[in-house]
Amino acid sequence: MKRFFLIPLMIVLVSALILGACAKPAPPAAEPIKIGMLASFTGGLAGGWGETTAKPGWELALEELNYEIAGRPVELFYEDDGSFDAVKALDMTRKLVEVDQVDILFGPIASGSWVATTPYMNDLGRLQITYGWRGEAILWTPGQPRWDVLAAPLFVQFAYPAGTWAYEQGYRTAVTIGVDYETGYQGAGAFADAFTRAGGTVVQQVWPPFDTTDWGPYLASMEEADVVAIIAFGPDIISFVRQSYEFGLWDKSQVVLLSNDTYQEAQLTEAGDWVLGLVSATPYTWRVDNPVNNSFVADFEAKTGFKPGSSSGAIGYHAIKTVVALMEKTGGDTTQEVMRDAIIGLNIDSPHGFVTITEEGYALMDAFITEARKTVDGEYVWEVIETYNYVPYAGYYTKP
Amino acid sequence: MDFMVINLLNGISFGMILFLITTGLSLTLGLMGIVNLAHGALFMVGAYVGWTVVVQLELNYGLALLAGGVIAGLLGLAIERGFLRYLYKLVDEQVLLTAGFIYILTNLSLWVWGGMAKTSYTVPVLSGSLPILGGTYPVYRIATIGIGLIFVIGLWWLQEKTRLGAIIRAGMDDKETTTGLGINLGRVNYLVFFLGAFIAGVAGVIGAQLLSPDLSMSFNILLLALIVLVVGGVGSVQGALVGAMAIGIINAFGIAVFPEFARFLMYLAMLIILLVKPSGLLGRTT
Repeated sequence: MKRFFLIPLMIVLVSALILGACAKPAPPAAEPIKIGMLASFTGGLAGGWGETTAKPGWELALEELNYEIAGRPVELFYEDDGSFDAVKALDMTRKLVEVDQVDILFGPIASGSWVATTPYMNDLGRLQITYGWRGEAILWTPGQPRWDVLAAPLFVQFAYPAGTWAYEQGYRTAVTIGVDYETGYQGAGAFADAFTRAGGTVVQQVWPPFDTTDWGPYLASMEEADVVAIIAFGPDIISFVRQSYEFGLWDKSQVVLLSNDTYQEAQLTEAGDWVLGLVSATPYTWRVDNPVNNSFVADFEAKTGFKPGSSSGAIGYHAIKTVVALMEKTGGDTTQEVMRDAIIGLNIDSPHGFVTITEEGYALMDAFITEARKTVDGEYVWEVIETYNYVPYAGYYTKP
Repeated sequence: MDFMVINLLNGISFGMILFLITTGLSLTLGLMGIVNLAHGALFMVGAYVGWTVVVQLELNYGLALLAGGVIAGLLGLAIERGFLRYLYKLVDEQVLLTAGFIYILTNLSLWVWGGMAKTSYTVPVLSGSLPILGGTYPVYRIATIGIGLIFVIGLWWLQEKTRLGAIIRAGMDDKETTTGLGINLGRVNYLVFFLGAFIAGVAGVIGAQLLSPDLSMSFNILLLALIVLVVGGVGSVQGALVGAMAIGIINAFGIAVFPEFARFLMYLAMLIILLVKPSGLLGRTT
C-alpha cells in the first residue's frame, strides 16, 4: 500500500524538480525593484528638472501603482546631479549603483553629465535611461551592445519643427542664438536647417558662451530678422527673455525659444502680461489633450496644488510609465541584459502621448509649437498652436 | 554711432555692477589684507533678498536695497568677527575659510530660496525703455549707471574727505604708525568689512535686475571681481572704478565685434596688466 503511493509521489517530485530546473529563475516575490533617479535639484536646470517637476511626477506614478510593479515592490532612490556639474553627476551615479544597488537608473539630466557617466555604466554593463532632452546625437548602431537609451527626445526633434513652423508663418529671415556647446549647436542647427530647407534665410548665427546673463552687447549687435530663435537654459534664458523685450527686439522680430524647459509657466507667471506672444518649441505642455495627460494633470494638481510645467513637467511620471512598460515586457525580470534588449521597440502610453523607443535608442514622440497666453482664469500657459506628430531625429549639426 | 553709444552704455552699466562688487573686496584686501572669496556669495544673498522684497513681498526698491545691503553686511560682519579676525596675515587659511563660506552661504540660500533660478525683474519705477538713436534702451540700465555713480561719489568722498577715510588710507600705508598714534584699527577694520559686505549686498540687489538670482552667481561674479581687482588695483575706489569700467567696456565691445573671443579679451587684459603693471592701473604700491 505504501509503495502504491510512493511511486506517484516520486514522479510528482522528480517532475517538479525538472520543471523547476528548466524554468527561468524568477526573482523572489518580496525582492524589490530598485529605481535610481538623478534629477537637477540645484543649479541652472532646477527650474525644470527637479523638485517641482520630476519628483512629484514619479511620486504620483508610484502612488498610483501602490509602489508595486509587475508584482514586485518598488524602492526609489534619488539624488541631485547638480545640473551642469558632471563630477557630481558621476559621483551620484556611482552612489546609486554601488551603494543603493539600483536595478534601473534614470539620468543624469544635462547632456554633458550624461556623457561623463555613460562610460562608467557601459563598463559595468548596466542599463542607463535618459529622461532629459539630449543634445548629443549618440545613437545606437543596431547590432552593437549599448547600455544607454533615451526614453526622451533629442533637442533636434522639437527644434527642427520650429524652423518649419517659422517659415510657414511667413517669416523669411532668421537669427539663431545657440549656447556655445553641443546642445546649442544641435538646437540652433536644426532650426536653421529646417528654416533654410523651407526657403528662408538665416542672416546671423550667434554662439554666446554658457553663463551669459548680460545680453545687452549681443542685442546691440544683432542683425534685423523676422524671427530670432534661441536655445539657452536657466538664468541665461530667463535674462534673455526680459532683456530682449526691454531692448525692443520683440517690436521687430518674433522671438522663439527652442526649448522652454527652464522657461515654464512659473516663469511666465512671474514675468506677467508683457511676455504674452512669446513662442516656444517643446515636447510637452500640460495643455496637450490626451486621456493619460488629462488624468495626469488633474492628479498632479490635486497632489501638489499646481499644474505640471511645460517641457519636462511630466518627465518623472513618464519615467515610471517607462519602467511599467519595460517590466510588462520582461515579465518583471530586472536582469540587465534582458532589460537592455527589451527596451528597444518599447511602447509607452504616457502624458506625452504614445511614445516608441526606436532601434536607434531614442524616443519617437510628438513635438509642439506653443505660445505664451493667458487663459480666462488668468493662468499663464504655453498653449499648443501647432502639433508635429512623431518627429524623427533630423540629423547631427556642427558649429559652422 | 548708435553702435558705439549703445555698446558704451552696455559696458558702463555692467561695469557699474562690477565696480560695486569689487570696491568692497578691494578695500578689505587693501586695509585688512583679507582675501574674502565669500564676497561673491554675499552678492548672491543680496540678489535673493532684493528679489524677495520686490517680487515676493511687493515692497519698494529702496527697502530692497537697504535690506540686501544690511543682511549681506551683517553676514560679512559675522564672518569677520567670528572667524577671519583670528586669521590676519594667514592668507592660505583665509582663502580656505572664505571658500568654505561660499558653499555654506550657497547651501543656506538653497534652503531658503530653493534651487530654481529666479526670474529677473524690473521695479515699476525703472521699467520701460527710452528712445535712443532710433532704437530703445532699458531705463533700469541707465538707472544702474546713476546708482553706481552715487556710490562712486559717496565712496570717494568717504575715502578722500573724511576722518574715517584718512584713517583707512593711513592704515593701508602704515599699520604700525597708525596704531601707534592711538587709533583703534580693529574697530575700523570691522567697519570696513561691514561696509564692503553691505555694498556687495546692494550690488546684488541692483544686479538682480540684470542677472537672474541664481545659486551659481557667487562663483561667476567673484571671478569677474577678481579680474577687475587685478586690472584696477587693490585699495582704492578709483582703482575699482577704472578696472570695472575697463572690463565692462572691453566685454561689451568684445561681444559686439568678436563674440567668440569676448571672454578671452577680458583675461587678455588681465594678463597684460599683470605683466606690465602688476599692482594694477591705480593700485596702491606701498
